[in-house]
Order: sequence, then C-alpha cells, then structure tokens
Amino acid sequence: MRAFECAYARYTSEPFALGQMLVVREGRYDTFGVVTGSESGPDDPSRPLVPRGDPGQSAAAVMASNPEIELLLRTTLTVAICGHIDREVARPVLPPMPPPLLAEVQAATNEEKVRVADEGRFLVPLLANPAADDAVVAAALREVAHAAGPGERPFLVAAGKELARLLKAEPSRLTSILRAVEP
Amino acid sequence: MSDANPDATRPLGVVVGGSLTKGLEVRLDPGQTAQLGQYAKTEVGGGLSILGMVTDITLKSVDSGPTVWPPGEDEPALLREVLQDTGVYTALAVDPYLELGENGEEPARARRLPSHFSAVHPADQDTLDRAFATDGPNIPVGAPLGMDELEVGVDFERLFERSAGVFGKSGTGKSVLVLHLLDAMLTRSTAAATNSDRTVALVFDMHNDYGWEMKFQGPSTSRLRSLKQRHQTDIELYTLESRAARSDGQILIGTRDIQPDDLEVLRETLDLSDLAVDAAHACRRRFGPGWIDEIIADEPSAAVVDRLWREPPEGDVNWSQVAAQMGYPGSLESLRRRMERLTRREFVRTEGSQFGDVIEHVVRSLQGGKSVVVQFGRFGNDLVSYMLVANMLSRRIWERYRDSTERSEEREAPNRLVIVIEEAHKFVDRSLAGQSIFGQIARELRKYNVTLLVIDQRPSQIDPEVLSQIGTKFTLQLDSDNDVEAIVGGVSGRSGLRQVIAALESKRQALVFGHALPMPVVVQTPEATNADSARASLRARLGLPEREETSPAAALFGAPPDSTPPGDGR
Repeated sequence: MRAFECAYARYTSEPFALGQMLVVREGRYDTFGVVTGSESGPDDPSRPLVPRGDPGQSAAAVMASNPEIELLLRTTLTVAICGHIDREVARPVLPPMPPPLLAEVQAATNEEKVRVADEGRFLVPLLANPAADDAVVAAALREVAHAAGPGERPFLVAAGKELARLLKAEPSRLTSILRAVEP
Repeated sequence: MSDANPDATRPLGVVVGGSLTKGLEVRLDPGQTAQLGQYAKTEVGGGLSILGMVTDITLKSVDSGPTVWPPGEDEPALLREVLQDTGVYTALAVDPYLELGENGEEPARARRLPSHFSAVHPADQDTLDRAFATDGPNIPVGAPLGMDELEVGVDFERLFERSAGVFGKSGTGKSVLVLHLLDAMLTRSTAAATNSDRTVALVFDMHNDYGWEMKFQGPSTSRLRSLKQRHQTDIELYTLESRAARSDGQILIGTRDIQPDDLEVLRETLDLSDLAVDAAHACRRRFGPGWIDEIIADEPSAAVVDRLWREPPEGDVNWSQVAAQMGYPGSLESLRRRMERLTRREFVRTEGSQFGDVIEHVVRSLQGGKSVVVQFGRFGNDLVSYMLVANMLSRRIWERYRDSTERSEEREAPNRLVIVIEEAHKFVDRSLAGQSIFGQIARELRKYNVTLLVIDQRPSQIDPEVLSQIGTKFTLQLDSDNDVEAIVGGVSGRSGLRQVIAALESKRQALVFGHALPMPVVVQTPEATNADSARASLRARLGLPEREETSPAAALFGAPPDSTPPGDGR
C-alpha cells in the first residue's frame, strides 16, 4: 500500500532516476510514487554475475560483446507512493488500494507532478515511508520544482515550509534536505 | 517597531493563546506587519467583536532548533525563507479592551475571549467610530498608528470635566498638541449659548506660545497662529512686561499682596528653609500686610521696633537684633535677602496692593466667557516669577470660583475653568502637593468647576496622588523609566502601555488614555498648521458650522467694554 516495485524487462543502464515521480494509470486510480531505489542483477540468484571483459574495456563494450548478459539481468525499482488522482482530483495521500500487478509504470507529466505534489503536501506520505531518505526527498523536491517552470521558487518555498512543519522535531534533517535542494 | 501594515483588508494573524488579564497571543500571518499601539479586532461570536491594542511584538521559534542552530550567512537562502513563519514566527501581544456589539450598544469592557484561531484584523473606521462614539462633540487627536486615513476623537465634555495632562520630553510636540486642544476648547465654547455653558482657560504661558503666535520647527512654517489670532474676541492677553506688544493688560503684584502662604510653593525654587518660611509667617503676624516692605528696608523702622520691644534697646537697632528678638537668627536675614531679590522684578511693586484689580478683571473675563493667557515674556525662564504669579493668581481665582459655586443655589453656577500650567511638577511635587493650590484643584476634581491641564516633562516628580487624579493623559515620548512608570501606575494593562510609551517616536506620537477615552490609543498628533481647511475640519468634528459667525459688533470693536483689563499695557 505504501510502496510498490516495478521492473524493466531486462537490464537498463538508464532507469528512472532517484526521486523521479512515476505514475501507474491503470486500476481505479492513477497512482503516483517517487523512486526510492534501483537495483540491477540476475533474475536467478543461483547464477550470479561474474566479471567479464578485459582490463580497460568499458561496460558498454562488454555488454556489446556479450549480448546474452542483458537477457539474464533485470533492473528493478522501488517506488514510494505519494498520492493519487481520483476522478480528476489530485490527492497527495495514499490511494485506498495498491496499483494492479503487471500494470505499466510511466513517468509522470510535469502537470501531474505539480498537481500531485500540491505545494509540498505529497511529502506527508513520502516521509512516512522509511525508504524515503534525505537524498530521495531532496531529489523529489528538485524534480517537482523543475517541473513547475516559472513557479519553481514559490513551490520550493511552500514545499519547504511543509517540510519544516513535518520535521519540526528534526531541524538538522530539515537543514540537510534543504541544503541538498539548493546547494 | 515594524512598518505600517501594508494590507489593511487582510487578517493580521490568528489567535493562538492568551487570557483576559495577560492579553491575546496572535500569530502574525506571513507577509503581514504590525506596529506597537496599533488597533486590532476579532470576533467572539454572537455579533460581538473585541477591540484591542498591540502592546508587544515578539520573535518566537516553535522549538529550540532554529535558534540553537540558526542558518548562517553561507546557508542557502531557501533555508531562511522556509524557516520564516514555520520554525520561527512573529507573535503579537494584543490587550483586549472593548466589546463592541453590532447594533450600536455602548462599548463595554472586554470580558470575553475569542476562540483559538480566530482571525485578527486591523481595526477599520467603522469599528473606531463605534468604539469612540460620543454623545456630544469630540476633539480629533490624530490618526491611530498604521491607519493614516482614520481619525480618533476624544470626548470634549469628558476631557475637560476632570483634570488632564500632556507629558513628554522637550521637543516632542507638547506645545502644538496643547494649542490644538485649547483651540478646540475655545472653538466649541465660542458657540455655546451662554457664558455659563462655556469652558474657558487660564493659561500660564511660560514661553509665549499660546498668545499671538507660536514659534516652532516644522516642515512648512515656523510661526503658527496662536489663540489670540484664532479667537480674537474671546482671548485676553496679559503680560508681566510693561511694554509688551499686543498685550491687553499687565499683571502687577504689590508687596502687600504677597502672603506667606504664597511663599510655601517657592521653598525649593527660592531656596527658602522651613525656618525662613516660619519667619515670614511671624513677620506677617507682627508687621501686618506691609511685612515685606518692612523687612526689605535697610534698617528696621520705628514701627518694627515698637512691635518687638516694650522698651527699645539703646542706640540704633539693626536686623540682627530684630532676628534675635523674633527668635529667627539667620533665617530672617536669609528671608530678607530673598524678598529683596523678589521685589526687584518689574511686575512686583513695593508699598502697594495692585493684585486686587488684576484678579477682579481676570475673573470678570473668565466668568464672562473669555479665556485669559498670561504671557511671561522675558520672565519665562525665571521659575520664581512663573511660580509666584501662577500660584497667586490661581489661588485667588479658585477662591472666587469656589465662592461662586457655593452660592450657585442663589445664582447661576460659574462656567468651567481649565487652568493650564507648565512645569507642573514644580508646583505639585511630593513635598508641595499638600500646600499647592494646584494639588487641591486636582484632588477636588470638578467640585468647583475648576480643573487643570498640566504640561510636564517629568511626571515622576509629580505627587502620585495628584497624578492619579489626572483624568486624561496625553503621553508623548519620555526618556526616563521612572516617568513612564509614573504615567501608567495603577492603570489596567500597564505593562503593555509601558511598552507602547517606550516605543513612541520622538515627535508627534502620543499615547492617549484615561477618562475621556474608552480605551488607550496611540496617535500621530495633528500637524501644526495655519491652514483654513484644518480649522473647518475641527469645527465639523465639534459639531459646528464650517465657518465661524462673528457678530459685526465683535468684529469691529473686539472685547465688550465691561472687561477692560487693568495695567498700563493697553
């Protein structure tokens, strides 16, 4: 309910970025989440990846000379749910039910990001997820602020105030997140 | 103190705590500002609203974090911006004063509190009109702080029915404010139907401010038309100087007019010891009304010797022998030297009694509906002259008013008299308040239709009992904590008022509170101006037609013939 996992069909070297807002548009609600982690490895744990290639050879060159490797590996993401859209109404709270299995996961549009973030209220469900560490929260804020275009600064200030209320007992954490947002 | 409120229609903030005794705590909304002394209102339900005054502004933090680790100069600007109004915020202390109904009920002392999170707004003109509504005319005293377009008035009747005071250090605008109040008083009185309905002033004008013109430092003009120019036929100007311009008469005091009681208030100023004053009483008893003329003579007269010895000593008697015989060795000599210096003043005439005529004319003018300004000219810096004349004149005029009032069942009661004195603490300090006529007038309130308008820089030097009888106080900037404490002593919500006074600006800003107002108000006092528009506005507030109707006779001939003053200055 608070998070879901999604996976690419195979290994990818450029998955969705940390803190990026994703959406599942299937089921009763459009479910939105923020990428909190990414992991790539073999599907079969009994067949671990062993080092290949020659010294000085790049990863891309190794993959190109061993095309079967990509088929044996998979990239998986963990996503912390931060809101949903119910009949056109954006709600920065957990949806009543999780997104359906095998549903396609897409990048949210800029307009969706701004609506769901709702001036920082999406931080409430996000911070409730232990996987959303300082780096994730800062990345998510940067992502939505960038999507807000000319409203970037007002969004950052409003979301920062929301964050300050949520982290009133952790001033040092607030400081470190805001430093990461605006270094 | 913050800048003026930028948006009067937006709430200032919300109530987050407080009590009736300690005031409300209001969290200031982001982007809003407030000033000490500003009015604020909030709803309490049932159609009632509370009107209060901002008495303190505090910077607070929700916890110790932001204050223990404040963002440094090198921190991102976002951090500071975010912490504003979240981790740290501004809180207002608002003292609730009045409960106002929406159906025109009389404002009542606030006895309810708004609920948490009630919105607090800047007060508007409608709210102030309801709060300061008076049955009769009112005198505009300026714009409340942060509300330049609004205006507050004090109840004319209540202002002058008890003594009032204007306090402030030098250069704060006391004189201009007093001129404004007196102008309003005379403007209103002039329109009264009968003399007994008039309120008149007896002004002891130390620095020639309230007669023909007032010199001051202002942006537009340095000479302000004063009472005589504004109310030509309703003012008599007296002076202590014999050749003063525009004087209607000279104040003359004969040595036979001065009683030992008149010297009591001059003890400190004249450096008279208790024994010297006792010696004066003894001289008056032994030598009669001419006692001063007797003791300032070079040698004791035969009359003095006859009154002290059944058998005079052989040879010439000197003053040392007289002093010893009277039992005041040393003190009598000291008294003689001081009386000699006192009588060197040009308005003091030896071997005569001049004061009776002066009193007669001044009383006739006052009870005839005219105000009297006594200008001290070059004697303005001579505190002895000022205190002597003010005390002697006031005592005798008060006695006349007392007699008239006590006989008022047989005759019409006299009109109301307001005596205006400067440097009031010299007359009513702790040691003198019991003897001074001014202490008596203040304590008797309006018993004999005589009240005071005191002007002073050092209210802490005034006897507390007298100060407590001052009904309405106009307080401009004061330097000393003792002076501030003296002003607010015994007043409800004094800690807040103390803060407000401490934050007053150095010019034209006053805290006004007391008998004539339902609640304290900080105002920007009216600007000194000769503009006719200001006079028209004043007349409107006083409920008078825009233009003064002067009778042709008064315009041509001025004062009626029965009030021709004495003296050689006319």
